[in-house]
Parts: sequence; structure tokens; C-alpha cells
Amino acid sequence: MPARPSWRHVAGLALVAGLGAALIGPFATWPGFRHMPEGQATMKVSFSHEGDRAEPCRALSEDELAALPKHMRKTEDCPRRRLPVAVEVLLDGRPLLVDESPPTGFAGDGASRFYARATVPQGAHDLTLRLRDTARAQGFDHEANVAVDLAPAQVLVIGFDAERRVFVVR
Amino acid sequence: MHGQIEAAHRDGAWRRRLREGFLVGEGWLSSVVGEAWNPLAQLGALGFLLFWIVVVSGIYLYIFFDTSVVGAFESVERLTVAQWYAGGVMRSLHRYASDAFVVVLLVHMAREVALDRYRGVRWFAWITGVPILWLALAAGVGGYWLVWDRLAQFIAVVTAEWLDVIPIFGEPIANNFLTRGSLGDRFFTLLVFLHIAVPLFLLLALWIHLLRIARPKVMPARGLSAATFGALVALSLVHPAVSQGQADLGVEVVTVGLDWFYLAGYPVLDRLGPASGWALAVGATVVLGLLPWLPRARPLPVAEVDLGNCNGCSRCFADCPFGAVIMVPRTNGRPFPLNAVVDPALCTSCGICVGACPTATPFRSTEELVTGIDLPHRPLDALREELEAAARRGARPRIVVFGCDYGVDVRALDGVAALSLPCIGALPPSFIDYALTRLGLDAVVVTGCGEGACYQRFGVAWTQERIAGTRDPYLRERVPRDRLIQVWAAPHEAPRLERAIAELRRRLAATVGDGDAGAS
Repeated sequence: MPARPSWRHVAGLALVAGLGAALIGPFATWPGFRHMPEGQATMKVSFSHEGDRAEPCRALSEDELAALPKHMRKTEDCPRRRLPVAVEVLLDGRPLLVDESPPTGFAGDGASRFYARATVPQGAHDLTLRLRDTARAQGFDHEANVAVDLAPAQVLVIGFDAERRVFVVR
Repeated sequence: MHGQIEAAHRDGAWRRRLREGFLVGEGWLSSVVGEAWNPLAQLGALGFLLFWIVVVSGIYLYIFFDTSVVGAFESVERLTVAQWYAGGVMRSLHRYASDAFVVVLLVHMAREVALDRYRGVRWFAWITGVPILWLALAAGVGGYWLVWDRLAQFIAVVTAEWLDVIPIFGEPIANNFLTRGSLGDRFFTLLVFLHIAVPLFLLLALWIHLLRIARPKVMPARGLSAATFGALVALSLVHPAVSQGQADLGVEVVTVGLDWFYLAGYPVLDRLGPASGWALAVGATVVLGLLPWLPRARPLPVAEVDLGNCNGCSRCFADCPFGAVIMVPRTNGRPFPLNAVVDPALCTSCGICVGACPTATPFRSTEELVTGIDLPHRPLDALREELEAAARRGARPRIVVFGCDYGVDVRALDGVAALSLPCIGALPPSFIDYALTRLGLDAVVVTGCGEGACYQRFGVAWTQERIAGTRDPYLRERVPRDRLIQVWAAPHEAPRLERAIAELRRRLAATVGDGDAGAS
């Protein structure tokens, strides 16, 4: 059975507990971590966008319509799968993001998603933004050139407005 | 016969060094703070204390917390500044107790590995401990997120990018942290919900963690509890936890003060990227989870019940440290309501049940000593034979040392008869009586693991209580206590045991012979 603690043990325990606290306190905030170098800014590309349908909609024939129950008759059959979407972001002519994203969902009928974060030097830059969402073999369906002037540690977000079908830089 | 001795002394050099480091540290701490208040001997209980400090301080903070984007930061600031004497202290307590919880968790794990208490049938406690690590981490990170300062902004973005690698979310979580207007108040409601739910799961995991442990200690000694709480309060007053400026999603975090107890992985995640972060996290979890089988412990034969000798007294059931012995309705028709049954999945083959069995007495006149419960690899009959053989050998004073396979290697002692058991708790007190009053040995030394560091949890405590006459089976009063010493010594404390034996021999020489000690 442990011996009954003495006053020496009380003092020892106070010392040990104090030392423990003294070790925990500083490391709860120190040393600091540098997430980003000085003189840099952050550029984020983040948006979801649906590519065109992989196959065009097809009008149903009279016979096909007649074969369907009355409440399920629709004039067109539209295959669900969509095309992948390709994006290019060039900063001063140099590629910052070159990516092609497949449609989401088990049936491949969801939007393609993009998310990227990059650290870039502060100051003035020319941004070239390109997006392809159709079956075209070459070139892009949407393109924009934007001049930006980034403040230190500024966060610039590049998105794509699917309704207006234009790039949005915030 | 001595399979467990071999197992106990066959460890790799790294484990020997780690174990010795812990045992030396524990010995030093015991000398400074006393056995009862040694924090290393009650890390699990200390963890529970810290958990409850976190819970109580968290409830206080929750009362004043505003679950909105702007309100979150402002409410925490109000607590910290305007209400520094209560809310500020509670916030700091919440943080520092959480940090201490992580430290205790990691040291607890390291100690179990060092003392080899995570393999074999003890795998369950280890495996169930791994999710506890993750849940503690998730709870801590969630807490930092709620403050919504610059640190929260940093960990929010890095965590969201890490989670978004798993394609299960409808929209990337990182989209919530793109611009100043992209974060909604509802997100904080969700965070608060998670920050309450995760600790509840943590508590559930802690309960499961202890399922296979009999009599788990869930509260440290009062003195240690008071000192821990006092030190955390003092730290909270001297070095209060503060926020690092309000989060601003339009401005990137450049430098940030990190809580390295919870957030040490974030610089790695930030540098290597989310995919590598997942690989590291999954890899570390798998390795941790497989540790009990890398390599697996050599299985030992479990305790066996002899129904012909078991009278269903339940002492083995009461003393088993792992709940491996259960009492069931009598199965062999003898006139006792119950008999013991051993669950092989829980039995560590420590033999503490044998030490508790009232039929395990060498005074029985049977040719072969068959007891109600016994270890096949260390039967009590063989122990009696070894003891009787020892009594016929050597010059006086004749001393027998009962040791433990996980304490000092008693086989290496000179000038004494040494009998090692899988745990000193496996020694029925009647063997001490038998050695001194029947066989005429001059003295008995009982030794085992260091106090508070019993490999089999209760072997030392039960033996002390049996000898003191406060726990069944008692050491009979007729046994001369001046010829019995107890030395609780860790494996590296052989010199201390040797000194105690030398002192005993000197004392005996004056009374029983001419001091020709050393012959054997």
C-alpha cells in the first residue's frame, strides 16, 4: 500500500504539477507557423459547372410514346451523362491551373467541380481564364482576360457564373 | 515451465530501453511526489479528470457563446476580456485541460507499449484506444474552429481542403471559406453541434476502451486531482488563452500561433497537400491499429478451473484484474451454487486467481496439489515442490524469494532460493506460512513489479492486502512478520532488492546462525 504522503510529497507534487503546466502553456501557441511568405497573395479557383450532355436529346417516335404509360410520356429522351469540363488559368501567360474534371454522380450527370489554391506574388498580373464545356475538340467555349493588382495576403477567388456563363473574379 | 519469464525477458533492446526509461522516471517521480500521487501510474484516470474539466468548462463557455459568424468571435472576446475572472479562466482551462489530455493520452500509449501491455488478450484496449486519439483530435480542432479568429481561419481552410479529397460532399466544404460573404451563421450552429457530439462519442469510446478492464480507475488520487486542477487554474491566470484577431476570409493568414498539441499535423498538411495528408493519417492509423500484432505476443495457456476443487467462493472472480473469471451456476452437481469459468479471450495468464483460491494451500496433504483454479504452465504443485526442495538446500540463514516475471529477475540473485511467478499476486499467502512454519526456512522475501506499476494491474496491491490481512485469503497471524519482507522493485532496481536481502541476512545471522550467508 502506498505510503501516506508527507509534506515533502505535497511540495514535490506542487512542483511537478507546476512544471507540467509550464510545459503545456507555451506550446499552446508557440512557436508560430508561417503559412505564406511575405509579399505573396492567394489565388483560389472554385466553382461547379455542368458540361454539355454527352449525347444530345432525341425526340421520341409516336410508337415509342405509345409504349409508355400515359403519365410518363415525354417528348424527348435525354441521356443523363455529361461531358467533362476543362479549365485553364494562366497567370502572366504561365499556367496556374490546367485541369479537366469529370461530371460528378454515379450516373455522371452532375456538375464538374474545381477547387485549387495557389500562392502567387503580390502586384499586377494578367489573368487568362478559359473553359471548355462542350464536345469541341480544340479551343474553349468561354475565355476571359482580366488584369488584377493583388495586395499582400489578398485572397482572389476565380469562379464561373453558370447562369450568365461568364468568369467571375472577386 | 517458465514460458512467461522467457516472454518477459525476451523484449527487443528498444523496448527494454523505453521500459527502463519509464520505470526510472516513475521511480524518481514516486520519490518526489509519493506513490499515491505518481501521475505516471494513473495516466488513464488523469485523462478522465482532464476530460471532465474540459466538459464542465465547455458547458460554461457554451452558455455565453454566440453561434454566428460575427457573434462567435465577439462572444469569445467578451468572455476573455470583460469576464476574464470567470469566462476567461474557463476558456483557458478548457484549452489547457484539452492540451494536457492529449499529452496524457500520448504518454499513456507510450507507457503501455513500453511495459508491453497492449498485445495478446490486451489488444482490445489498444484497438479501442486508437479512435479515442482521432476523436480527441476532432474535438480539439472543432473547438479552435469555433473561436473564428485567424487561427480558426487557417485550420478551417486546411481542414476543408483535406476533407474535400473524399468525394462525398455535395459541394466542396472549402467553398464556405472562399470570401467574406461565403460563410453563413448556420455553419457555426453545425460546428457547435459537432463540438458537443464528438466529445459524447469520445466518452462512449472511453467506456468501450475500459470494457475489458476490471475495476478501472477513472479518477486519480485526490491530491493529484487537486494539484492538476490547481496548476491548470494557475496557468490560466498567468498565461490566459487569447484569440489571434478576427478571421477575415478576404485576407490570407500569413503567420499563426499553433497549439502544437492538437495542430502539429497542420503544417505537414499545409506543405504536403490534402492527398498526402490522408495517406499519412490512414497509414499511421493502420500501423497503430496493427501494433498488437507486430509482432503478436506468444499466447500462454490460460487459467484452468478444476471443478472437483472449486467451491464457488468467487474470490478469483473478485480478484481477476481483467474480468476473465466469471461465476456461473454449478455445472458438475457438487453442492455449491456456483463455479468459476475462465474466458480465454480475457485471461492474461497472470495467476492472480490462483493466489486468491482458498484451495491453493500447500498445507493440503494430497500427494499432488490440485487447486480450484491453476495455471497449466506454472502449476502450484510444482511451486510447492520447488519450495520444499529449496528448504532442503543451502546453509543458514535460508531465504526464499518469491518474485515476479516482470519485476527484478530473481533467478539472478545469489545465496537465496528464488521462485518466480507470472505475477506476485499468483502467490497464495499460505505459501509464505508454509515456508516459515512448516519447512523451517529462515525468511521470506516477496518482490514484484514496482509499486503502482504492476504489469498485471493488481498483483502488488492484492499481495500487500493479503499479507496485511485486509483481503482474502489472509496471511495467518501466526506467521512471524519479522522474517518476512516486501520489496517492490522494478526490473532495473535489482541493487535495491539485493541490499534489502543483505540487510535481512545480517539481521538473521544474529539470531539464527553464525552468518555464513552466501552459501546456497
